[in-house]
Amino acid sequence: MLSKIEQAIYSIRSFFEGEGWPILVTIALAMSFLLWTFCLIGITIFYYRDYRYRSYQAKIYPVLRDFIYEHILIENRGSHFPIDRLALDLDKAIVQKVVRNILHEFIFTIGGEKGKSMRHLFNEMGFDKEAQYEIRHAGNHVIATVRSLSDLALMEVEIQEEVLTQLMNSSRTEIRVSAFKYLLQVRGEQAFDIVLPRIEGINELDALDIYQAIVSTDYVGTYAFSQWLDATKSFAVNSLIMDLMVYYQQLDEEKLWQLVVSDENSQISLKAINALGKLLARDSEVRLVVFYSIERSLHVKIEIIKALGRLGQGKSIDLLENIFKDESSVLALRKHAYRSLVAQKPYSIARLRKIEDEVDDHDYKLIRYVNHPMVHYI
Amino acid sequence: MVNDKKRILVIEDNEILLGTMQFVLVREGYDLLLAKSGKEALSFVSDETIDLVITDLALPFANGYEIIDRIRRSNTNNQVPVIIISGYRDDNSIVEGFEVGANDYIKKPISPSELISRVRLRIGHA
Repeated sequence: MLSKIEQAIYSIRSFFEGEGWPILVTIALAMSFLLWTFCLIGITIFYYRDYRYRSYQAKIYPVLRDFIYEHILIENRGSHFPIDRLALDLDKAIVQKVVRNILHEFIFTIGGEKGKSMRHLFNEMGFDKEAQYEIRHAGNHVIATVRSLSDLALMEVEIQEEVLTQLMNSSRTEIRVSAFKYLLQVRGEQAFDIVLPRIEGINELDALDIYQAIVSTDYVGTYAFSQWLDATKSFAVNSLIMDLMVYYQQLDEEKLWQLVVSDENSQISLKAINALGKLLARDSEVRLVVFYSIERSLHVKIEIIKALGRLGQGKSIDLLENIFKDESSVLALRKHAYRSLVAQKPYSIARLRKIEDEVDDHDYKLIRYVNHPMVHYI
Repeated sequence: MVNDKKRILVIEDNEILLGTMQFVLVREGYDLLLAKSGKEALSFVSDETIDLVITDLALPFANGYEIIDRIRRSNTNNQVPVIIISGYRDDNSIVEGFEVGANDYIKKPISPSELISRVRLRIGHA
């Protein structure tokens, strides 16, 4: 064994003492040249495609815009558009892509009857069929599928249940999220029971997308979003549900408290405390005070103090005053405690006056900082 | 010759929407001033006489609320009616718009015929 190692070391040494270095340098130079060449080719392709798209857009946009103005805005035409007069080579993929994107933008911007007419124009150009085809052959073509789902949602075109189920069960999260957004945009409230149980696995950006899709609908009902809160689910899912509860002002203290005390994910606990404050869970004020005394994490303590400030019924002013007066306490805690005391007016007016009379120079600076109009309470 | 057409300042950074509003309103006989950013809009507010302002909320340099606030504090155009056109659909955005001094709020996507009706309601026919 030892002799083999010695032999290996010997051959390596002799390689570098002989022609080894020049060979290595030559290989490194060649690889570096190849790397740079491929990078330049990649950048050139990217800029060429971008330039090509823009130049086509610059030619097509005025033609399509004038066509829309003439036939939809002036003639009030709702169907049977003279597409041939556009004189566009719609068999060319780039032309098709540009026209489809421009029409999408128009439909996204213009609503009412004219918007409906634009949807008909989109369909008469065959883009709805193309979009339906693309979602049926989703495979790994994520961008095409996402774009098609977005188009179909905008057109409010029904997709077959079978296809929709396939998309919602896709292994690609982007496709699943687009299918959820489609359902929410087209079916509104009726889609909640289909979408919300299936959103496990989404990330925070996806959650934001779904949140936007829901709040953009005209829904104003009393759907119990809290039924989908679950500490074993990811932060993104729970965060989305809590954001929706806050947006629609639906308080479910018990469910939120289950998240606060769970040990699954500290981010979820923080968000739940935040939601208790924003939903004005007044029955939770005393419970939060007790929870503050047993909690050790600084982040959780700050979140509790902020929530107490929002609840503001005067039941926690003793705690807040003590935190502020405790000079051994962390500055962030003291700062938030004072802010929350201010937020608890009128219950805290007497305490605030007393604090202002008693404070030293250092604490006076802190109070001035908190009271400064530019430092608003979040 | 004095131009007696009613003049509308349209502030919108989306080219398609700006173009469509321009087409629709000019066809109705109104005289338009177009601004794609808050900065451009503010220069019109201080230099021109305007009968109506149509503004988006999310704009580069100065948002719609700031523009309305500046209009209300300006010497020349402080009484001009303002219509907000925005994609924000939440109550807070709408209420804040009215609080800073807007007279009307239209949610995107806009309907051209609804836009014309609301403009006529505020300043009458061109």
